[in-house]
Amino acid sequence: MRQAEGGFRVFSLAVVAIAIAAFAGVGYLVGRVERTSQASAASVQASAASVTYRRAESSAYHRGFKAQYGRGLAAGTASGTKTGAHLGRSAGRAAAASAAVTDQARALAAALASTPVALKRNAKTRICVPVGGGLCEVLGPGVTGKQCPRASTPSAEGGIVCVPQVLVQAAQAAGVPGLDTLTGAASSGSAGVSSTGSGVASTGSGVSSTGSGVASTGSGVAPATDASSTTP
Amino acid sequence: MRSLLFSFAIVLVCLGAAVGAFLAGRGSGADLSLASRAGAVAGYQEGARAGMNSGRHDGYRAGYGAGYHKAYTTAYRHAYRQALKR
Repeated sequence: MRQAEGGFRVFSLAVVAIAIAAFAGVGYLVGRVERTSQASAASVQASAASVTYRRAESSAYHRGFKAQYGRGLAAGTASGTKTGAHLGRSAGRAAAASAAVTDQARALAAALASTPVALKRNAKTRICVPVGGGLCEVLGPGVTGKQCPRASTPSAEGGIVCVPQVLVQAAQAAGVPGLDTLTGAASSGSAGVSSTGSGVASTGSGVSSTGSGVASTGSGVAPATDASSTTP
Repeated sequence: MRSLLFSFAIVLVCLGAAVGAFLAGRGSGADLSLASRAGAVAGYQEGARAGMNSGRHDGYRAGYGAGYHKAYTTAYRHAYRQALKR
């Protein structure tokens, strides 16, 4: 009887032990299933990082913007002042030089326009221009901008015409003081180098008065081969 | 009565064993709160650094452009007039 009772107790203890082990095993398995995985932890970490990243970036952006705006403003002002002054000075000088050249050109044009020289359009200046007294003179560098032909010199009054040296020599030989007087007499005449419809019609009274022989040679003296072919 | 107490004790032991085993199986996992806190700190630091750099860069550029344009115009006109007077 006692042996049966002892066996019953052993069996009961075994059942109890098995039950406890079963409960523990099931609990362990359930706990392991419920255990947080590394992937979910990483996801939570990334989510939290993303949220705080945006907030921190926004606030820090404004602070950094305000902090560096002043420095950038100062640097830009300095650089802009330097560059603007340099370029503005260059542009101003160029404009001033251009204005000076324009003024000179206008003055020259006005001087040329005020001189009693007028030619028709398309008037050829390659040939000599007949002047008073049977002379034929070539337009000088004051009008054409080119050098006088050989054996002739530009007149003293602006080089409007090219006076043959033969005439100069003849005037000197005739007692006329010089070329200045010669040209001065031509300019001081009533017509001077006056504008006519056909071209330069200088009376050349001083020249023609020096001698008819000079005047007779005038047509042959004025070669006018190198003169310009343009009209002023 | 004795058998009832004995059975009750066995039930308690089984529950204790189950709870203990459950906690033991779950305990070696990652801590979500700790992960969240670490991610927030790292994100804040990284965002602050990036935002500060970007803000500084953009702020400097914006200030530079504004100052340059205004100063350039003024200086250019002034220098142009001065050079033109001479």
